[in-house]
Amino acid sequence: MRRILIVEDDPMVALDLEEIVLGADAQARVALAASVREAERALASLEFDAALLDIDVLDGKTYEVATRLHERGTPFAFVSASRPEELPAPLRNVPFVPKPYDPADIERTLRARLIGED
Amino acid sequence: MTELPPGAALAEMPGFSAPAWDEAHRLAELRSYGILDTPPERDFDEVVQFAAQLCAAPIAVVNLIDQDRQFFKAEIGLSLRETPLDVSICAHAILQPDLFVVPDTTRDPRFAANPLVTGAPHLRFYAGALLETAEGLPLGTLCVLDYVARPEGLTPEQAFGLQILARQVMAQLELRRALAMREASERRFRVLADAMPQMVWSTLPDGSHDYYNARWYEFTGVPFGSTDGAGWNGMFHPDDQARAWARWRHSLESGEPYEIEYRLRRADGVYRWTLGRALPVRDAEGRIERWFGTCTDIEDIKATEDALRRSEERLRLALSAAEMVGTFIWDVRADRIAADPGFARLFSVAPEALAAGVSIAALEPAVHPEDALRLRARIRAALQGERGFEAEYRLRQRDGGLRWVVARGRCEGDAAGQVSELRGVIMDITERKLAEEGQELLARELSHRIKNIFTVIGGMISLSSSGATPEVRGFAQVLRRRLQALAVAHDYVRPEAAGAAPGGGTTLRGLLATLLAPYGGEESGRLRLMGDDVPVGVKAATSLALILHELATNAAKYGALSREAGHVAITLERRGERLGLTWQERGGPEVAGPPERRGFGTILAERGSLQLGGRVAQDWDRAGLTLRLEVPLARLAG
Repeated sequence: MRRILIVEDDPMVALDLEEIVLGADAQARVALAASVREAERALASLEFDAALLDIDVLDGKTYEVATRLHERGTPFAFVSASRPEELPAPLRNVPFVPKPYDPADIERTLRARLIGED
Repeated sequence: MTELPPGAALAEMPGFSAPAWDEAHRLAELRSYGILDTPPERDFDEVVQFAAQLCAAPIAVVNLIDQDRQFFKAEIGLSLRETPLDVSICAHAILQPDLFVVPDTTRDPRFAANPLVTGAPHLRFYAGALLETAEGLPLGTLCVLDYVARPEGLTPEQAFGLQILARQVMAQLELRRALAMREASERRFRVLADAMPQMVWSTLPDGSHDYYNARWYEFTGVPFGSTDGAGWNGMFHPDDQARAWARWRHSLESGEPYEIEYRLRRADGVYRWTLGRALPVRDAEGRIERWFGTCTDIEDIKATEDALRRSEERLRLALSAAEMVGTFIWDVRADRIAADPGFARLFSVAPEALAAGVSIAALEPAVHPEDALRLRARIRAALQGERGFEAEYRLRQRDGGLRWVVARGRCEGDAAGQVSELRGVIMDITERKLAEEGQELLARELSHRIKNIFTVIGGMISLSSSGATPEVRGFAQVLRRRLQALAVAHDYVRPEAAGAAPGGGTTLRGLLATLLAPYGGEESGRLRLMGDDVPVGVKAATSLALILHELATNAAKYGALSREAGHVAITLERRGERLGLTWQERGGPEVAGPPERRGFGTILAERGSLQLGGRVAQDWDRAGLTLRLEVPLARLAG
């Protein structure tokens, strides 16, 4: 049973992403965080197998969350309306799904890059 | 001595001792008196009359010794104006100081054989007083002669009187010469003054005008002599008269040179700006004898100067207006860059240093390190043949801030084609850059929000159909993909960073490639994009995106892209002011004919192309669909 963290401040988009994740892996347990603070709290108490991160959330950018995930070796992808070139240099190799996304792209990224399936 | 040829120089005559003067010099001096060959004059005639009476002599002569003759300016008792030099007794006399007396010519070996002694008029006695210049050059004599010998010579009174009279003759000669010289000098001055392009005038020491040259009368058109005295002042512009008069009085009283600019009335009534100048001429005691002045028409010069001054002022104002502009000249070979204060301020360098010129290296520290390499590359490119130079870079300011500048220049080459100078201007574009950045930020923020809205709507469509029937979920998926196509098109043509060309340089091929990427794009080999590329704008992009999306999804579902072997060729062709787009599917399932029901894609293609001012035609061939779309280029770019 995989644990997936979704950091997304728009509830509609968060739910959509959750649907897509569950569509790809019906057994997965999804944790939703709408802010950097919530994401850090979740990371402090739980281990995750993968994460989808919006970049601009309620209380700022999720770069620190990304850095922590990277340090832990947790695979993750950005799902953002920002442009990939705006990312800090160390984060530019992280998988990036631009918004608005095609649900198929999210699913493909999940399978190929985050949860080790294809 | 008759055997001597006429014309023999006096000093070369045998029996003459070498004189203390140079004969050529003496002759030149004699001629300078302008007395030779002049008619008899009373002043000289009276002298010879008196000399004859004084010495009780029948003959008296004012005799001037020329090159090969003696000329008698005045004579009594001879009735001759000249004789050859070889019979002259005076020629001997001028070699003697003061008074030369020959009591009896027949007893003097120098004259005993003289034909004037041996024959008529049988001259026996001679006494001559030297006519000598102040310099000591003998010109001739005042002499008396008698037909009888006078062993006793002259009495002391006669001798003294003869010398006094000789000096009087000399004084008379000097006076004549001085007058002649002055006349010649005045003549020369007038010729010179009349020939000058300037107006020339002179005044007496009290300032009253007594002379104007021809140019003055020509310029002013006034009658000759009408501006003598103080009449000149009336020729000036009424507004300038008092000032000119005051200045002139000041010079007259102080003796200081006069210089003034005023408007002088020309013959046609037009006042012309004129430069008036005058200098006093002083005598040996320093008293002013006269004033000489000139008037120069400077209207054209002044107009040019004014224009130049105004132009410079405008330039200076323009440059300093916002303290945003600087100019520079870089002497490439000497590596000296000289620049104005505007440039100095931007580079945080002392204006004096830049006025004098500094090396490029002295300016480099001001350039932001991130821009320095790029700037150097631009300079190198300009020097190595591009000639034109333009670079945008940041300059660090004294206060720690940064200013964006743009430098533009041009290389100047020498005759050999080598770059010798790079000249140009530098402009502070910080405000523009900030505005651009702000605009870009805004555009990015807007784009970000639009994308988020698309995302939310997409999520909403999916979630709304969640748990519904498969048909509804399928429909939601289709809808979501259409929305996605719209979003992709929108993103492709979104306003780029400020400063980009309208349309952001977006093209139809670029749009198609972006839209068709989800279908494998061109790399898959199933989609081929060919033909002319044309610009595409925001409005056309969204319509085209929806049309192409429908075509592609239909192809993927029912057409050529639904089979491994199927492919689509998209051909773009410019036809005058219109663009033709051909979508041709081949290798798909056999097509039975036009669909019975017009689908969304067909409706969209018809409506969309109509809206773009174009038309669409579909050909349902058995081998596959061919769709031809034609749209005006102008509408496509809109």
